[in-house]
Amino acid sequence: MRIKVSSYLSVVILLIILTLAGCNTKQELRWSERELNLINTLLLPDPNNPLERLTPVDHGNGVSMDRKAASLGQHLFFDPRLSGNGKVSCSSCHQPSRAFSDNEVVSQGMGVTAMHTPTIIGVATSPWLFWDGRADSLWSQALGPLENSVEHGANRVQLAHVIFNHYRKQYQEIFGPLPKILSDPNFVKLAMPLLDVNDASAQSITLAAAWHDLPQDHQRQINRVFANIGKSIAAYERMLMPTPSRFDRFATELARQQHSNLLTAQEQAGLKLFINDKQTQCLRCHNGPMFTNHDFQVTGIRPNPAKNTGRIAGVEVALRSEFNCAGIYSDTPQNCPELTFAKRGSRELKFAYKVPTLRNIGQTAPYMHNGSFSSLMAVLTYYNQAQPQLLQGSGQRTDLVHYDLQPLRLMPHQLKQLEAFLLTLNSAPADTNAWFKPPVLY
Amino acid sequence: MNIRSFQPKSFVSPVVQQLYIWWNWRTPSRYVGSVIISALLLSYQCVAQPIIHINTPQAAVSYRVMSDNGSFELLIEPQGVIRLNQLHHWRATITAVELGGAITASNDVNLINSDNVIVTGGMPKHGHGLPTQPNIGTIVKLRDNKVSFLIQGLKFQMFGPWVINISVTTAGDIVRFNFEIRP
Repeated sequence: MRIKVSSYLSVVILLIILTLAGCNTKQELRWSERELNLINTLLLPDPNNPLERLTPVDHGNGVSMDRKAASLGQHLFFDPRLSGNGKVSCSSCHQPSRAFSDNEVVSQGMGVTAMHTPTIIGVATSPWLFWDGRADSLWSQALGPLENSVEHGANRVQLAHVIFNHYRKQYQEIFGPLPKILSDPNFVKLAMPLLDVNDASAQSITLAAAWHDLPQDHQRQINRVFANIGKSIAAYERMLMPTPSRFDRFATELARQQHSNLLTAQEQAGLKLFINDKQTQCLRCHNGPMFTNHDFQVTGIRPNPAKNTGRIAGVEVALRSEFNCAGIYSDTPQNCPELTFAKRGSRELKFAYKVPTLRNIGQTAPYMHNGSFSSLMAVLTYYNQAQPQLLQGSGQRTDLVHYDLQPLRLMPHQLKQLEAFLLTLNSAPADTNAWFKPPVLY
Repeated sequence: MNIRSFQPKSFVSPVVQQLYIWWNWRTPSRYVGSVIISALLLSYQCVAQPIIHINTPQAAVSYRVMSDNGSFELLIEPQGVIRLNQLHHWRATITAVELGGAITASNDVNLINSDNVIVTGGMPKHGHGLPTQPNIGTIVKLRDNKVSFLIQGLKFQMFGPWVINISVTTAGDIVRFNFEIRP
């Protein structure tokens, strides 16, 4: 029996029509109830009250909500006198015009840093700071770069003198009287304890010797001023919250009227992929209004040359720090839940780094904790295959290394959709917000 | 139809060709096979363990779970509202099941202390454990067969299926509380 040509043709034409119908990009996307619920969890709350659902945390900082402390902190943030050479301020790397990052792979302070500088916008919602989570509060994190020889290269006695000489009135209004030793002209000008037992540089030894010569009471007084510097800077950073992005405006309209054109079809397709918990599973880590679960995950990026092992070492540093929530310079040493219940010693923490926010991700290239990915598409391509760099050429058994990524297995056009969506997370510019700019000097 | 005489034109795709062949070779047995497979899949849905849903933010719900060997029942009462990425506590109440009226290690609540209650858990599908190290608060005896304590420091950092295992080593038994965190 011969089959007629017209029968074949009609089947082929039917298939072509069905396929083309699916390709119609002008068709409005439908959102299921589950998808709408998921989108709602990512939404920034009311723009008039951005702290409403974003919960800032700063355990042990009694002035975190004090406006005067935030103002002092803003002045300190932009002041290059808080450095060894008088040229490095927090804003040298956390630049307002670059979403408080610097768009460099690693950064230049007094030396070259080991890690990529992340954004500070919204960081006040994070209970753990630094890529390896070695600080348990925003105020104790601020102290790290100040005494890091490749960042500010300062020391706590020098910084106490800066407060005494330039910020005495503002400091004393918030924290009470400064130590009398700072007004003694014979009091040492530069000193700090040795922070890294492997550091044998002449300068560190000199500073450590000068610190060691101080009576314990003087050390504690200096430490208290130092801690208060951190608390002021943290109070300022708490004011740097993300403003609603185009995604937030789209999601608000979608919740109200079930459809919105504030995102293009390509961007909406990207959002659908982003919240897909079967395929991309982005929400495993990048969930909540800050697009991060604030946890530590292994992305398998090759470690930087400093052989940093991530959270497994970082959590131990935080637990030992004299400036952590449980220490004598904390204002709430009895209330340290994150420190109390921190996971330790698990192989899931080795090479685990903090999940960064995706808000303003379009402005904070390059990417990952060592800045090794120059573009968003490079990151997405890596995630698409999810072949960990850590294991390549190492001969390590794969079952001994915990790894958190699953391949996305997306087509190239889908990766472009995902990238387009991520670029909608940039905050609207906050030109009228004075906190986002250098302060008017006292 | 005789498959050997089937000579489609070369421009028809192999997929269409295969579909056409299957359609002309359909038999009762293929229909029956697909019906049986569908029935098996549907029945699996019905008899599979129903999973408890925790829809965040979740407030004021309690859960009762039986231990594996039936030695005790656990009542779980989350304190406050369960939200993603936030530390919170659960109140757990163990009620020992009396087996034949005799007090043995498995139903003697006096033996339970914070050293022999062990909490583990995680997301088996993702291959990771709990993101924090919860601990057991003071054990309070409520009745001869009932004790209560806080499981402190729980945190869930992802949506999806979770398990919390509470093992009581003196009872030689364990409760596996399976639930799904949903938006």
